[in-house]
Order: sequence, then C-alpha cells, then structure tokens
Amino acid sequence: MITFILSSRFQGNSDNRLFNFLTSIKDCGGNANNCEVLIKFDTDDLDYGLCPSQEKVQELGLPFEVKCFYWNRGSGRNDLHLFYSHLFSERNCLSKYVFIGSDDFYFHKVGFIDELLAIHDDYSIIAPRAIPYYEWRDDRPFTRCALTQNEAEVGFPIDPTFRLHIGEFLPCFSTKLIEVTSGFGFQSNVDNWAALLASYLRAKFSIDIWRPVGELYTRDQQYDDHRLMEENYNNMLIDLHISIKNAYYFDLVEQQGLNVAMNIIHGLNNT
Amino acid sequence: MLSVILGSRYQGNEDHALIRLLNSLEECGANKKNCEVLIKFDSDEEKYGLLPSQSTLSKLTNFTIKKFVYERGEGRDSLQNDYTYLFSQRNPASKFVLIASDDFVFEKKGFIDQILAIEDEYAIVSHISLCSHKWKPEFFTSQRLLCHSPQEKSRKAIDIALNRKNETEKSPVPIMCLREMGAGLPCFSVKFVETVSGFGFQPNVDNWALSIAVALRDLFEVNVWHSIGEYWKRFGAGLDFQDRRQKKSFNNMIVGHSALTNNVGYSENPYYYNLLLQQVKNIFLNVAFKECAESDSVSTVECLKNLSELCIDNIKMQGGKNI
Repeated sequence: MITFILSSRFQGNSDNRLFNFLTSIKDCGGNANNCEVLIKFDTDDLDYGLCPSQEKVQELGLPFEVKCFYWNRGSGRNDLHLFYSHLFSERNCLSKYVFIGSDDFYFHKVGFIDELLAIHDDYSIIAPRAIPYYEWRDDRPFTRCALTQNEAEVGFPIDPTFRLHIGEFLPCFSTKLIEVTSGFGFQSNVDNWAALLASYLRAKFSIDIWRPVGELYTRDQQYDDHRLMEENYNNMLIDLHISIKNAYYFDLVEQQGLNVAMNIIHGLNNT
Repeated sequence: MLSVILGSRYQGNEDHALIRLLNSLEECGANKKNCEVLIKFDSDEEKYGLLPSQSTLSKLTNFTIKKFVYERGEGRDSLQNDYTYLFSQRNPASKFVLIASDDFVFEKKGFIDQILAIEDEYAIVSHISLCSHKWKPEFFTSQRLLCHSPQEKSRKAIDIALNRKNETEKSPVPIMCLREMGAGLPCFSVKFVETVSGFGFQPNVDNWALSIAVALRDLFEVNVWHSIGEYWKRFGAGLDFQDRRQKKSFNNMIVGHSALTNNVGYSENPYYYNLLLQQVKNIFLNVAFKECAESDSVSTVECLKNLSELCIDNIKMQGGKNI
C-alpha cells in the first residue's frame, strides 16, 4: 500500500485543485487495496466552510480511503514538513511508501502505484528523474562555527550548489526510511531535503537510495513564487531561490544520513 | 555552554512567570559563558504588544537571551516542534539543551556547571533517578501488531497486553513508570538530540526522554541517564492541567497524565512506540559505532564507510533490504 499525504488550503490558494488530484489517483489505478490518502486541512478553512468535511470527501465515492485531519494552520507552508510527520504517524501501518502530494498536481501515469509497490527496497526515495550528485565537500563551510550565521557574518560564501533546486517536487519515501530519520527533515521543501540526504549517502557510503521511475505527475499551475513574499521564520529553508541561512542544517541532515547508513549496514530487526 | 529553551505565552496563562524563571537562572549561576536562553513567543502576542522587546530582554540578565516569534499553531500540543526549531538556533558552543517552562524556577546554585561537567556524548540529565521498572518487550510487540487496529480496539488490546483489567485499576509497569515519573525539565546532550532528530512526536518531552532512557537501558544496556538531584520547582501546574483537560488534542500520541490522553497514561496511537524504538536503535548504533571508531582511531564515518564497502555487495544482492 502507498500512503499519499498532503496539506491542502483553500483560502488565498487559487492553485487548489484537490479534487483533480484525488481523481487522478483513481484514474491511475488507485484502489482500496493499494493506496490511501491523508489530508491535513487548516481549522480556519473548516470554520469558514471552505474545505470539505470528512463526510463530504466520502461522498465523492473514491475507491480508496481518504482520511481528513484538521488542525491549526500554524506557519502554513513553512510548517509542511511538520504536518507530513504527523500525518505519517496516522498512516495505515501496511503502507510501504509515503508519497508527498500537493493540491496543485495531478497524476497521469496509469498503473504507477503498482509499479512503485513492486520496488522492494526498505530504504528508498522514488522520483521521476535521477538527480545530479554533488560531491560532499568536507571543507565546506557547513561547520558548527557557521551555526545561525549568514554569509556576511560567517565571512565566507556558503556553498552555492545547494542554492540550486535539486529536489523532485513530489518525492516518495519508503516508510522505513522515514522511521529512521524521525520525520521529513527540518524545513518545508521536503524534495530538497530528500535529494540532499540521498547525495550524502551516495557520497559518503556509496549507498544509492534514489530510484528514478520516469514521469508520474504534472503540476497544474506554473511554479508560483508567492511564498517568497511570505515571511518565513525558518532560517533552514532552502530551494531554487532561497539560499540557506543556517548552515547547521547540513550537520543535522548528515546525522540523519549516518543513521540511515547504520541501519542499512547494521540493521537490527527488533523494532 | 547550556542552552535553555522554552515556549512562553502570556494570554490565558495565569501561571506565566518568565521573569521569575530568568532571574532564578541567574541566581543559580548562569552567566554569559555558561548559559544562553532561547524563547519562542507566539506572533499574536507580538501583535497585541504583549511581548518584551529583544533589547529589553538583553538588559534583563547577564546571559544572552534570544527571542523568536512565529505562529502559535497548536500551542502546547506542538511544543516539541518549537523545541526542535530552537535547538537549531542554539549557540554552537552549547553542549547541553535544557527544556524549561515559564511556570518553573531554578533552585540549585551551581547546577549548570554540574550539568556541564558531564562528559558523556549521549546523556539525559534529570532531577530523579531512572525508575527501576523494566521495559516489557512483549508490550511493544503487541503495540506493533495493533498499530492498524481501530483506536478503541487498540486500547482494549493494550490493556489486555498489560494485564490491565479495567480503567480504574492502577497502571502496571512500565506504564506507571512512563506515566508518573517524567523528568520535569529534562536536559539533553546536544549529540543525543542530533541523533534522534529533535524531541520526539508529542509535547511531553520529559515522558519521551524517560521512555527512551528505559528502553536503551533494558534493550541495549546503554545508560544515558544522569541524576543531579532537585534543581527546579514548579509553581503553576494546576491551572495548566485544568486548561488541558478541556481540550482534545489533534495529536493522538501524547503521553502523560493529563486528560488529553483520557488519563490512560500512554499514547493512544501505538505506532508512537515503534517510532520511539527506532530512535532508541539509532542512539544505540551511534554509540556502538563510536566505540568501534575510537578503538580503530578513525572517525565514525570512516569506520562505517569501511564496513559499508564490505557490505555493499551484500546489500545489492538483497535489494537494499535491511540485513
């Protein structure tokens, strides 16, 4: 089983195509046996009657289970990784993979769910395309001395390669991987975190957990930059346009990578 | 250096006594060299002008106070997320992080230096000794089997697994241990928190800490617990608890003796224990590989890489499966 998890908002989100997203899963072969969808809605959307209730979603007659969760918006998009981590804990424990969804995407590859489920890796990240692997520079300035500092304060440039977008938009993770990393990282661009983690494992341990499977989905809208205008409290955010300000992030991801490597190499089946 | 981290709120919080907390920290020996305090405030309080400015905070004490303001979110029920973020903002020189709350005071002079004298890389510091109750592996086996069951059914089955006959019966071990003996204001070595990627999955971090320590001791014979005796006192718990009883949380993994968990004293979502045990395993593996690395005079990463090269063919043969 694959668990699709996403956070959906209606207010101020003209890109919201949630029902297209759900219908596309059905059209591509989603059924009660091979998938479930977990959606986090914001309570203020619920209060204003903008997002569907659990009953309303059931009336759609989708052939798989859709579970709705409602809690506070918090910092919205900037807290997505936290929302995903909680939804992960609510999944059907039979699920092998968790697929990060978004309400402005839709799937177009018929049979992709069963195709993904045929991959039998305990530790893997599935994405449409391969990623370029960057060398892991030991001399990089991502050292503890750079903690919470920006480039000007540190006095040397932060590696520009990680300013590039190396993510995959909607990554899919084996559940064991997320258990080992205790969630989806420390900032909301989970695709970028996934690529960084995979790069580290490959560079340091020759372990390749990235599984490119070809195109699966399309984004309904043009990549929007509205979030760039939003105030963001998290100085570990990183993507195409945003250079990371807190280099300690890389130390934290390194530790997650080390944990994954240790569990792969020396797994103990007692949990 | 010790980083003290907390979330603080004024509105609807009659127990709020942040200044008292900060003063008590200074009276107990905090200074610019051995301590910093990181406080998360809610942005709605900033809008209402309820918060002290950064410059006011800076003048309050002789140690650094860093102010962070962002959305309240689910408030108390998502405290663990706030702690994790504040952790990432700490001074890189800090060796320990102490979870605090604005209705506490520190009482023991010199407790900061006492904590900083602990040399263990993986450590939890508390005011109490680690309870002697044993971890019950069969309990967690039951949890694993139950993780797909409907919630009520799960709870009933958990009760059976624990030989708990009815709701009024006193909780047996290890639930009593986990329920009644939290660490109040637990303190963690930085490496410990890095290794488990934060502060767990629910806001009662003291309970989470205790669970991890018991499991590490009983499953892997690793002791991370250090008791330094009483060093704090709480003033306000009553009102706080009353408030919490009135609200059901979105988070069904909360463990504690508040009504959020209907006083059952354990997580309503049994998957919590699987997640927690994976964290325990991660700590164990890091401790084990560190020992291996030290014996061979190479880094943990190098030690693991050497092992990786030996194992890589085996991993490929098994399709990346856990070996």
